[in-house]
Amino acid sequence: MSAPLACEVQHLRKVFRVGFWGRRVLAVDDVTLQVPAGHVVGLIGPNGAGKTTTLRMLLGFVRPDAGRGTLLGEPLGSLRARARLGYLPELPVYPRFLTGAEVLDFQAGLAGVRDAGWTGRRDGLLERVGLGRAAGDRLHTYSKGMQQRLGIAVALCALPDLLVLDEPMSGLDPLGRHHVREIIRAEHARGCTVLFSSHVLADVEALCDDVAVLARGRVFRAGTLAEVAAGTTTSVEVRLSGGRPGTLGALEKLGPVRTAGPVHVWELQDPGSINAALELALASGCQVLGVLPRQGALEELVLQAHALAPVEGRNSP
Amino acid sequence: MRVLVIARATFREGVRSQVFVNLAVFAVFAVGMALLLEGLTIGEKGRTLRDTALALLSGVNALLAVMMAVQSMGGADDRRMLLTVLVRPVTRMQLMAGKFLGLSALLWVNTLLAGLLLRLAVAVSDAPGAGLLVPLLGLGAEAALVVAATLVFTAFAGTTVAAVCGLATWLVGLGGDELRRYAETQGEAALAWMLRLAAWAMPNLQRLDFNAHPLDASRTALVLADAVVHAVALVLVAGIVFERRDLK
Repeated sequence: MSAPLACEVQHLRKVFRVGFWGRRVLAVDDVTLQVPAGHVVGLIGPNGAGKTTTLRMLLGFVRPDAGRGTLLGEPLGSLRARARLGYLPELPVYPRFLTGAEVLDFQAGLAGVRDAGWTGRRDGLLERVGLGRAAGDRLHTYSKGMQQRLGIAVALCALPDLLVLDEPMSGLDPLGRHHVREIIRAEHARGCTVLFSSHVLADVEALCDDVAVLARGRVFRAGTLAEVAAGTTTSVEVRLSGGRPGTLGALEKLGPVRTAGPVHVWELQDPGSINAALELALASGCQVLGVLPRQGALEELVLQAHALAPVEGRNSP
Repeated sequence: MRVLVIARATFREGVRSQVFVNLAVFAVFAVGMALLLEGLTIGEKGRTLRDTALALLSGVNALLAVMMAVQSMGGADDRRMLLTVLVRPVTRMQLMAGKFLGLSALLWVNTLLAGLLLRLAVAVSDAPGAGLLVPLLGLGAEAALVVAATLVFTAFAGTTVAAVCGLATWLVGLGGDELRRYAETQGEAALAWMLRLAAWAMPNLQRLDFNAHPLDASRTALVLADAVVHAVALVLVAGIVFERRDLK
């Protein structure tokens, strides 16, 4: 039996009218997506792929022109579903003249969770995102990274069953990214479903059970990380020096070699051949300076998605 | 009550960001004018001060009402701020109502505090200061109506269009009685009908000028009640229109 779904959308489509003359821009062409309950799902794709619009249709901010879906078992935009939801928009903005603690109080009031134990939970939440000391400061004194951390706290304040995070790592330093990754892992462990979009593919690979790659308003590939990565190649770059005469010719049977000064850069298209390749290099008298993976499967997928031919009618449906 | 949560946050944000700057400017202007008029005016100088200051407050209130309504609903940053509110179990109607209540409360407080300063200026110039409260109530109601009308425009238009339409509503509303009379004088049926429709839809702010047109208590209450009904209707329209808008 398949896992219950936290949310799903079927054949979503959205055309925006922009500018004075109402030019039609196809933002989402046909997106069908399922998010199993309790999973961490990453939404990736090049800029303009339709990630944010898809999330906004899911949350009820944008009305789809076609398609339907459910959110936590309720129709899209349902108030009951929203009561169990945490959301971090891309580059979140909160009232500039309120303090961090007041913003959380405001959000808790809207979510209906401002009970007797709220103040303690609020302070714990601010500590958790690293804003304990800045809780009483007004937001116009916050840096971009601090606002992003506050956004994470806001998303978590109602103990959500589903967390929707739009570019959660945006504007964060490495420590902040580490914190957010830990928070996502902790929420996942608590049983919360997490759906997030990101351009930081290392985070997606590190955190997600499932991935959907969007391109030009459509789902290019979707499934578990292993399913999505299947069929992609990850090349490996081996840096060598030295070697006997004629060595390069032998090496090139396994992959192209570039020479930059005393260093040979050997690109292996098949990572499975790495052991045999290194044995060959050592037997040829080369010194191995380093072995570097050139790109991950997700990166290759995003590049493939980016290279797709434009969907017929995009931007002028 | 989520409407009150939104209203309180809107009020608090507004108090911290704008009102005190506005009050300081108004105080300096009112006191300066009081001192100037005391030296220049022959007779009725208290009346001149009072009329000028109330007219000035009406204009300042209208500008503030339009600016704050547009800012709180229409700016790019504020649009993103709305996402963090509307992702909660809050309807767009509740959002509009909360914004209206918060901004109106802010303008009422602004009006009453400016009224206190005006009372001081009147005292300095040794003019009659009695009966300021009712005109101030009228000004507060006028500002609330301008907020409600501007919210309607922010529900479907961009910031510039909404601001221009909000200010136009205030200007036309100041001549509300004239507009109604003008509609009745039109021989062309279609034009008269259109003017009557506009006069009916536009808030009649002229009747709220209790300084120029003082009314007895019952008629004053009636006019204020009419303003409340009109404001509620405008907020309902704003909410219904905003319900259909995509938040890109």
